[in-house]
Amino acid sequence: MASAPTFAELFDPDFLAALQPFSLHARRVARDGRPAEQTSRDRGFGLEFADFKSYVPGDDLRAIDWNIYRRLGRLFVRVFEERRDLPVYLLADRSSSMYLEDPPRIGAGLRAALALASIALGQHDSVGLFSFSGVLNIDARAAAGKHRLASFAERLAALDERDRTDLAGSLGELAGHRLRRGLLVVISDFFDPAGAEEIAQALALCRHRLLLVQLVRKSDADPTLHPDLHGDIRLLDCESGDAVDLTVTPATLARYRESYREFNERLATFATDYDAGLVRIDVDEDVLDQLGALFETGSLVV
Amino acid sequence: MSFANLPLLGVLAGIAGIAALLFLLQLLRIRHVEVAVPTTLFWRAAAREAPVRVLGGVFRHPLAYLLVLAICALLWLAFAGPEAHDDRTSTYRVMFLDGSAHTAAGDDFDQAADKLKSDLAGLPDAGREVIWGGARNIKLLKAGEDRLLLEHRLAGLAPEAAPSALNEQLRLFSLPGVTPESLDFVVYGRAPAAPSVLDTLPAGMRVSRAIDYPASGPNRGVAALGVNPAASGRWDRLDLLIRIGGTPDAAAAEGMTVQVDGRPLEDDRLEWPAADMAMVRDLPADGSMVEVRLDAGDELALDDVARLALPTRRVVRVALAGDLDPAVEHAIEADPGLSIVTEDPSIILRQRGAGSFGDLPALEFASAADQETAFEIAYTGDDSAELALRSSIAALGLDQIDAAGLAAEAGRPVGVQLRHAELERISVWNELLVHYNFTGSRSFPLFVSRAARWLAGEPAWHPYLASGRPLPRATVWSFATAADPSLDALGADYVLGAAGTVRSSSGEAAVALSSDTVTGRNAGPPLAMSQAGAGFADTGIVSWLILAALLLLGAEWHLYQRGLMP
Repeated sequence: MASAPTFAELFDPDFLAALQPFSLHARRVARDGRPAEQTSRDRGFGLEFADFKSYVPGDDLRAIDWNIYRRLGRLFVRVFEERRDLPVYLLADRSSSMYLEDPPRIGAGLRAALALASIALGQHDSVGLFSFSGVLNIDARAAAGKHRLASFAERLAALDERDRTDLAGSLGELAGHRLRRGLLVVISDFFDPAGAEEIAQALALCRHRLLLVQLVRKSDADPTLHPDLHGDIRLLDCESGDAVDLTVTPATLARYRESYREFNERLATFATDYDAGLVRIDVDEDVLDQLGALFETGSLVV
Repeated sequence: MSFANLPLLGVLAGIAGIAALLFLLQLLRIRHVEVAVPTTLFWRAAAREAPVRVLGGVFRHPLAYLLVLAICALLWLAFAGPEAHDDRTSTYRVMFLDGSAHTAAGDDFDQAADKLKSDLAGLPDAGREVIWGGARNIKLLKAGEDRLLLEHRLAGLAPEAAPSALNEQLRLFSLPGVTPESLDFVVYGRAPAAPSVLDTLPAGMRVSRAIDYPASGPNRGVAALGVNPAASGRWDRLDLLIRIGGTPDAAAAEGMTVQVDGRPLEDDRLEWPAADMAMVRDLPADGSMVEVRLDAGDELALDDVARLALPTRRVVRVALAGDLDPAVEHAIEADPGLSIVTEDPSIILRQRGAGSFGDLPALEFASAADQETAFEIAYTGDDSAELALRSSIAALGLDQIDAAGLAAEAGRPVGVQLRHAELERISVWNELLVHYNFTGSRSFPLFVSRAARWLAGEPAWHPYLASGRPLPRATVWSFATAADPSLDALGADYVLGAAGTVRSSSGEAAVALSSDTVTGRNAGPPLAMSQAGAGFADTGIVSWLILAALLLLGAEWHLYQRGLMP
């Protein structure tokens, strides 16, 4: 049985070096963050000029624009845009379905998580790591600094297999932590027995901007590519152990494809409706190449 | 359409059985292969709409079933060995491979064997048989036997120094009830068929030849070799007759050498009463082996040598005892091969009970009151009474006696009785000699002479021994007892096999080819050319069936790979 990548396999210098050109930008980050590189709504003493405002007692005298006062006889002060950090929360699926098959989905999932963490830490954003299966785990609280990348990779590699998937419940639990608003990256196959609708409803309640990383493989869409899915079979759900007996026929295959298509359409509809990002990563293909397509201009704006 | 390996009913029953078995397997195949998947989320709806097959449930894959059934049925039909029925395959074919001296020249035999094997490949096994036509006709390959066996059986076979027995084989097939409705008799070789035999063939039988041989080249050989009692009258001498035969274009009879026991005979002993006939007079009848060899240098060598074992004639010492009829003594005196002695006799002629020569074979004369039948013969050896009776009647010349006349004279039946004993003995009624004028019969001296030789154990006289020809009736018994006791008992002609050495009751004898038909390269009436095996092969049907099954298998694999078949 295939296993998740080790730290040595995950923390690949070539892989990390290839991520250097990429950057992650939020359209606007929340107030009260640390000074960083993301555009924020705070006005203060940054480097980027934002606006003028009438002087009121207490304003910094160094900000008064004396040229305007000489022409107009009134006092105005220059207001600057403050740059803040973007909290990035990585929510990684560690349920059994992520560890099934060869190669397991968890490998591509962890590489994608490390890539996003590396990009975010490289631009002074804070990165936190959460994992979920039946319950939510806090694996690393949000923190900034490039030097944290190695320890972050260690924590990723330390994730082990848990039982079932409860994404909707885990998102609700995450909401209870009252985290600073940021970017929530959900890395999962989204095979929650509750169904796509439950997942969409749970995601809709999140206060964060969302980036959904769906880990797929070709046989998900076309079961005929799976070497064992033919004839009379008993399908065993690797998480719940539930068995489904059926005879694979063109009719059953068509019905399966329809169900899978509806599932994906629901996720896509949600992403469109809630301005969330949705990226599908084929676990049988190279993760870096697929991220390169995501960051096709070098920068991903969320 | 018929089947080589199974009856039609068996083929149909087999297909029905396969269909039933596959149907059961379709119903019974409910053991699922377990497959672990990340989620069954998307399969549940499909499973609800297409529930899994269960034992006794609805038969759900009729097309898949039909495909598998078609594949199995095609393979079953191929196993059954279908045979197409056109004009050629519905005809039973007898393939006669001539292994006689007719086909011994050059590579005639190899050509015939190759053609036979080639033709055989295109014929259904059940519709043909192969007969080896050598000195004896033997079935090489029976109907239904695999043709691969022929290669093994042909190994070591070569043309034999014997004339062909083709005509005997044709006569056999001409017998009522032997020939199938339609029969092609194909001759592989040069064996000639007699016009008289061809004229009597049944309506459905056709005789043809497989190879159109070119005309034979010139040939010369020994056509006859035999002996006769010497014309000079010397009882222990023989005259040897040699006749040279050949094709009309053969060279003159020259280059002939005659050897007696390996010693060349002087040329001046040879007389040539005709251009093709030589005689050697007054050869001693001492059992020597005569070999006649021709330096012909033609393509047929088998007829260039002939051998004959000369008969043995030795003086039989006869003792007389008792008051014998004078005619007996006269008969003995008249035969130079018999000598009356008083000491050390080989046999005794006596009145019953007379004489004191001890236990010797004897010709006795007894009163009719003491003996039930006119002739009482005691014989030794292992032969059956019937065979001993037949052989002794011929050997003693009893078949020459006018038994009916004697019986009429005597007023009572004249019979022969045999019994097995430790010593040969012949006992005859005195009354036959004295009262019923047997002594006056011309056969009496013959009887006495032969009886004396039979008692002395003198070997049978074979004037000639020619391959493929029946023995003279008088000498059949000597071979019948030694070789095949049943033959003469059946009253059949005893035909000698290939030239060479054979055993008779008197020891080894030499058989010569001596056949004008062979030596004259007689081709017989022309036969039609055979079309056997020309371009049609039933094995093709089997090949097509297997090919079709493979194609269906390929189609099934394709459908399976595309998920269109369970």
